[in-house]
Amino acid sequence: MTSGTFPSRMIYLDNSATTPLDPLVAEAMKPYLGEKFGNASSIHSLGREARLALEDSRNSIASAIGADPAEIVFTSGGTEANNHAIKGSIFAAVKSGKHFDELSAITSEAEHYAILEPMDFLESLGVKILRSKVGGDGVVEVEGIASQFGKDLTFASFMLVNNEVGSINPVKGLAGRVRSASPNAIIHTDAVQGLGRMDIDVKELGVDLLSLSAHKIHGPKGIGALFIRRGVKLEPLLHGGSQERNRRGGTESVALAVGFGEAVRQMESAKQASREQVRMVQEYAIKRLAALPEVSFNSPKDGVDGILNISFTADVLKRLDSEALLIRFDMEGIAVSNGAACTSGSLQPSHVLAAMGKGNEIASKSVRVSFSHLNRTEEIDRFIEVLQKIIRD
Amino acid sequence: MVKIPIYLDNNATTKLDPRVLEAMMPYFTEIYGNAASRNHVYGWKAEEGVDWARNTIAKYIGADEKEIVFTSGATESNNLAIKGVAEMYASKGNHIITCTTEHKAVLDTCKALERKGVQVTYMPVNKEGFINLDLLRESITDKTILVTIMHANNEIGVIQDIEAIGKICHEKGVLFHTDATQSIGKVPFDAQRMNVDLASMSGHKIYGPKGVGALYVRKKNPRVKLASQMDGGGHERGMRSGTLNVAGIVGLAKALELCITDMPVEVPRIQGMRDRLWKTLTKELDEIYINGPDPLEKPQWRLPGNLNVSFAFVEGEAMMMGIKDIAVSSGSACTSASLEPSYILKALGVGEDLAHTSIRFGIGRFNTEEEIDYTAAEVIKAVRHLREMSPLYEMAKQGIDLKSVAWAAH
Repeated sequence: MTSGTFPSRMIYLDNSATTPLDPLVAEAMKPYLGEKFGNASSIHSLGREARLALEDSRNSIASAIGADPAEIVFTSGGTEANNHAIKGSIFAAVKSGKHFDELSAITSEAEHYAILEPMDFLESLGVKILRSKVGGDGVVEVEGIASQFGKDLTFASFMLVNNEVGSINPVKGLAGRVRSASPNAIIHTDAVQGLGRMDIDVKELGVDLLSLSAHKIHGPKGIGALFIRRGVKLEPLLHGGSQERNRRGGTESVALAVGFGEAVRQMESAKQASREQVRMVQEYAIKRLAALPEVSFNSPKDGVDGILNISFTADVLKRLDSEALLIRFDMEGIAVSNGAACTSGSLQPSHVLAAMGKGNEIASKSVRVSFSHLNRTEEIDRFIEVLQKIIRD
Repeated sequence: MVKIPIYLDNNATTKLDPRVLEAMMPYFTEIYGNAASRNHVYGWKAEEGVDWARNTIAKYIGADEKEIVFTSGATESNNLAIKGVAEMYASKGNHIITCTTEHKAVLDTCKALERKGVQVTYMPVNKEGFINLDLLRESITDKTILVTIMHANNEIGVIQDIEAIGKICHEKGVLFHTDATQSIGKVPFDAQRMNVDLASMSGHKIYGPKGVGALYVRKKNPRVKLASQMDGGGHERGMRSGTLNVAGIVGLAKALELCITDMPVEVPRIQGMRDRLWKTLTKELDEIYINGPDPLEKPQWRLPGNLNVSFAFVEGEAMMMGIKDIAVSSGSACTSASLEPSYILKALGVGEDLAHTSIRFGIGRFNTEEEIDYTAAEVIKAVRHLREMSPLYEMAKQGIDLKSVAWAAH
């Protein structure tokens, strides 16, 4: 197993990849990693105790997004929630007698791979996939999608907050536009990066499906949820067992679900203070970065607080090596990234930045810093110090 | 004095071993990185944990570390194996063979595939729960792409001869998947020796955490290819995307390691308790029947801690109420909320009356002999009490053949 410790002054600025588990969340999980280990589907007292805890978490999550508890299905994370939403909608349409080539879905070019890849898969089966462009700000324009589909659209998915640049899509407007043109379409939003950073209300957004993940809000890895509006029929992604009202087979992961519920409760109770802290750090970072002539911003001005994506002016880009850029930060004890964690090894130019019209140089030599309420302005000072060293060396 | 309640439902889930929790804890605290973050130490530390887990699991199941895919549990592993093969090998054939006593995670997956046009053969089992190997051989056609037969059954503990099944499959050039959720860690398992191409396992059945599992996917002779069921990011060599549950993965490996290292001591101890319970019950009670292979005559074909007994003239739910200090099950956990008799017992040919009276005892690591004796005494007391109130039992005792009685409708 791993041993050894971290360098003493590590600064973690990669909170969009994952966040540290809140000690209070770990505390809440502990009994369910100990004496309260029952299978939530067992009918004896240990099972019923696990069931109560599971439902309690479901209630917390539901209430945080304005949903009914019965509309929340636990998943193994955001990726499963997204796959369930997309494939579940399309396969349900197929089950009702439609052929793949009669079906269509719309999404955008700047989505997470957990949206884009399932869409590619459906395309290979014959589903017509429309990939909407985004503007230079990473946002899908409501009027821009209007002309792309007729009244028979099957499915639409637009992320709430972009994981690489923090742009916020007008999901309410997009959902309304889709609904008015194509009343039977199922509308989904990947809200994994939005949870905690902004208020989410499924009724206000007008979506049918919404994906969430716990480990982005100081909860445990391995658990997420899919909101499924009452009455929306999806084909399950995981078959087997009647768990989650026949919507998702598999023994309920009680400790992780309890952790998710507690993370949501902590998020809700400290919401104002946390967001203020993140905003303060973000504004401070922007101010410091704006003073550096070599730095350019990829994130839009009106993006979410907590995600900041930067690149560099042409002369600096010429000198920088994309791999060395990130390694330097690590050597200096700062964890940042160049985009989504799942592609962080590849050094491919970011598909998000490319969709925003950034050139290849910028798309492959960017830095994403992402904050949580645990970050402090002193850490930004250190980040700037290191950044300057890298740029000017 | 024994501490109540007594947990004898270890086939449903098990208590996390404190040693496993200890191994997981660093990943809940300082090592919180995303294992896919390739450019900082937080990611590397998390990945080191995952690599250790992958190597450890591979070592203990006769696999290579590149043959282990982490999942959210055995249900996902079963879905990935079966749907993954059905999709990937669709051009080769569209026939899958399974058996009637599989877990719902396999049966429901097969049913979902049937709706998409896949042909599924459900092999029958004999009264002990074994499939017939000759019949299996005959059932394989040139359209067959996969045989999926569980290693050990979750309700009746019967262990199939998967080495022989694997041999048949390999002779016929057909892939073999086994749901080894109940067996890995409790009885020897070796993917190479047993000719297994795909094997599902779960953390929480072996004193590890819930929410994590793995799928063994053979890499050579033959190289198995799977269509992924969760896309996005290409984790796990493209077979299963999603941020890795690092703490859970480390817990799964630690749990398996403990099971394997403790096996020489634990198997005889747990089997001893199971046999003691069965012997006491048969000595004190008449009209009770074992479901699955006889534990004393065929111990090698039954999970060491599993005992499934039908108590004639006693209704299962009433029985569970009668022994409410003891956590047992009257079927598998995933269907226990329904009062339907077990489909597995039905498949063995157990009549509905006896199927309704069955209790599954799942004995595990944290049980003691005192608990077993307490349980036996409670069960005997409850059965006697319930039978005292049963006119049917009285009639049977008087020698009336109940099957000959023409009951009046009312």
